[in-house]
Amino acid sequence: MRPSLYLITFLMHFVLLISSNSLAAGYEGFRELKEKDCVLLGEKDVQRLPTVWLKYKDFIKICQLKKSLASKAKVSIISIWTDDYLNAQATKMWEDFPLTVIVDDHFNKLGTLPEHFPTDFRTEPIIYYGKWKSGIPTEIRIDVYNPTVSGDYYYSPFIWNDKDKKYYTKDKESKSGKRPKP
Amino acid sequence: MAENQCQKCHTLKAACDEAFVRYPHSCSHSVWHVIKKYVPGQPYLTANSLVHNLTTSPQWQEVPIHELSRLASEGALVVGGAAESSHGHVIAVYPGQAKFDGGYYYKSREGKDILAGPHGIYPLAMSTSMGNWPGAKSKGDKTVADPWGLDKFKKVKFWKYIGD
Repeated sequence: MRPSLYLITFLMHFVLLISSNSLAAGYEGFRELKEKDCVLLGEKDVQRLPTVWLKYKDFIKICQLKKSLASKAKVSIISIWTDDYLNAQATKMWEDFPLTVIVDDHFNKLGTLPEHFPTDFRTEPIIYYGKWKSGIPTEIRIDVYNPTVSGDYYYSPFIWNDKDKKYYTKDKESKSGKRPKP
Repeated sequence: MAENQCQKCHTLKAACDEAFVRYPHSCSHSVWHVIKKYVPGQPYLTANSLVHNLTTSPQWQEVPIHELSRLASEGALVVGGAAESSHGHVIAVYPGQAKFDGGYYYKSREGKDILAGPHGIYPLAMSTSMGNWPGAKSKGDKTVADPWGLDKFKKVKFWKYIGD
């Protein structure tokens, strides 16, 4: 192989490594959940959600939280794509949408997020997940992009409780500014 | 708003219009400009300090949101705001009929243009800001809810000037 081909191969691997998202926003060991990680929830699975979700059935997506592309997810996030839903409505009026939920691979609810992923009212929650234990991300961090006057904010992390098999946060109130780095 | 519809509120409307032009990048200065028309000796205060002052001063009385349009249309001075750990934001209630919030475009995190959809009907606002958020720039064309997101707006309070 010619040296220039070695260089091209190296650069391609480097780009792939960067885009693999193993280091998200400076949170070492955390991945950022991207919209492309999410797929429309099938009709059968929509029926397993509380009835309040049914109205939004064509706009509900499931996002698997995987440690790597090849691994199988034990935890997923289910959310309404509010932007797509509103764009399909004549009035575009914001609704009292059910909040984004965290579920296991049997659709048991493990927790509720404070905002709608990927788009809330004027804001966009950014979800980071990491600290893996037995295939489960034991910490989920929600940072919020907020273009309005009050600016970006974040929530206390959602921590996995292995005894209850649920995620808990110690404080539901958002905090202004950027999350302090440990 | 036509002048004949604003017989009682033309001082407030004129003060808001002047403030919007004179201080387009500072909410505290524009609101200060409006307050001075009613309270000539009012010292300049930053947004956070002004919110603290409105909360504690006997010259100001907290009022519920459903009274704002009527009060402003009667010419009463009503200031709203919320303090923040960094910079808070303050606005003046602009006279006129309440309307839907939203209706303007803003940039998403990825730089995409997003139409700000409505959430409800709110009183009008005079608001200026050093930031780029279009909902915080209003000469009565946007509402008191537009500067903030939904959760933050729940913490916004409004005070009417009642004097000595």
